[in-house]
Amino acid sequence: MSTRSTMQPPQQGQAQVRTIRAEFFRFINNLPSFRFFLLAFIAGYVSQYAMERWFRSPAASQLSDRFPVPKPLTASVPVVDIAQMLRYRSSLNHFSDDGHYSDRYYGLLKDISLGSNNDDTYFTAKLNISETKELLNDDEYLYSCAEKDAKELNRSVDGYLKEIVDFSWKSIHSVELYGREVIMALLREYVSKPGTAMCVLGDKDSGKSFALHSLQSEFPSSVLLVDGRVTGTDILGGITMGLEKIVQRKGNSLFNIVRNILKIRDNSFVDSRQALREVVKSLRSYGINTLIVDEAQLVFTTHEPMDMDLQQLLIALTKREVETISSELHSIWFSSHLFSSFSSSSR
Amino acid sequence: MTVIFATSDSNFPEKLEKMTLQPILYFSDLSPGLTYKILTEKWMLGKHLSFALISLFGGVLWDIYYVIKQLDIWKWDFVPDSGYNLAMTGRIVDALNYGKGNEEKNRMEKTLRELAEKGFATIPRNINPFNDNISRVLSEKYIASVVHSGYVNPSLSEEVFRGKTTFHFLTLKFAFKTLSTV
Repeated sequence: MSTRSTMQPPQQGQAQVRTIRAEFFRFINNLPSFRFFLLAFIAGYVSQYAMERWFRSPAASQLSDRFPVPKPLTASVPVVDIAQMLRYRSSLNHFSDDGHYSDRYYGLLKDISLGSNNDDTYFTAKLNISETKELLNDDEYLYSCAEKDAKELNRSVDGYLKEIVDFSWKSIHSVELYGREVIMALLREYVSKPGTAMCVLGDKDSGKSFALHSLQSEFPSSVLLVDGRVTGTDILGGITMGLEKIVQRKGNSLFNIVRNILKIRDNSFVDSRQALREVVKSLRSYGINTLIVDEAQLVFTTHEPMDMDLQQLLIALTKREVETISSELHSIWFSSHLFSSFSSSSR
Repeated sequence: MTVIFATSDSNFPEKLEKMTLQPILYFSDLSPGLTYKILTEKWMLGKHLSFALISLFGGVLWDIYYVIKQLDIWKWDFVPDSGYNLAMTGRIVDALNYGKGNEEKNRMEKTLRELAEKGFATIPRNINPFNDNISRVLSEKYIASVVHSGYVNPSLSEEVFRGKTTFHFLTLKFAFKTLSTV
């Protein structure tokens, strides 16, 4: 039996596999980036192994005892606890059985006691800064809340949002005042109480102007409102403008007020005391018992003597006798300011 | 006659050298309970969005109205912090840069941080807030108001004062802006 007869002829399939394998390795070897990657991988692996061996050796521990690694001065990279963040995210929008939110983020709010107007104190001394920042930069938070509401109401989200925009617009432009009952009651009391100089403070958009306009609409013929945003330091011009509005509303019955003030404007030789007396007398005699100066910080912008005299004028309004101030009001610059005020308002 | 001044500058009563204003009424945020009632009953918001808005913006109805409008426009892309009262960030940065020495700068930063975390910062008894530069800057830039315990203020809790006569008061929106700036 010859050897030739025992040898199997090469299969055609095996030859094809060998050819493909050879082509593949030829292709890989021709790729420079692959060679570099392979070399870098091997070098990194070897160096890591060597470093681990070195750090475990007694020589390395002796060296680290002699030269300790300094601690970083500040933590420049914040440590983010992903698990905690996920727990926090899942706690959002969780309603308890009694209808209150539980484990819920409130910002500065401690709690929200529903249906109560006055007894819910809402400051916390433990605002969580990281949670707050997370929430403030979350572009899905508010819209996902709107989606949940829309789902409960069987509405589309777009329809729900359009509807609440309409309702809120109507509400915010209505004359209804919310949550200021105590302050409004006090203001009403002081409108009828003579001889008071008082102040209404509050942040921007807290509703001061709205409340004061409401007060004026309640007492249209006895409350005069001067808006510092319109008049600036020209408070007397503002008083004149306010009186003109009352005249327009009341017809001719208050015509004398404006006529008197116009007479003062036109007469450049009139005495400042006389002008002041005329304004105060006009306000009083025609039943104006309250003067409101909105945005008052714009009326008193400087600490110049001019401001002092404007203050004197306003003190005069709160007192019964005009003559008590007359002795202090005859300096030349006050006179010039008074009539420049009138002339600027007339322009 | 009665003369009523209305202003956002909490140092204003002290600026009037010849006039003593009494009483002083203080308008703070609406309480959360009342705000929730308005949002759900008058504005027809659902409970989820109402709570979210009160948590973020407190009881300032104008701000909440503005945010609802923006949410309707931007939908998923609306980030509560973006595009909202950008001028305030500038004012807070101005306040942080204020200070005539390291001591004042440090106190300003400390005060802003305390305001952000607590919502208010008590003023030490030895400092007159109406002569204090830190208080003046915070007030003039409308970042925080100086509130005296003598003011008529039906909304603020007594516990805020904690035995102090004066403190800076901060609304929620200012707290968040301060947080993202400090």
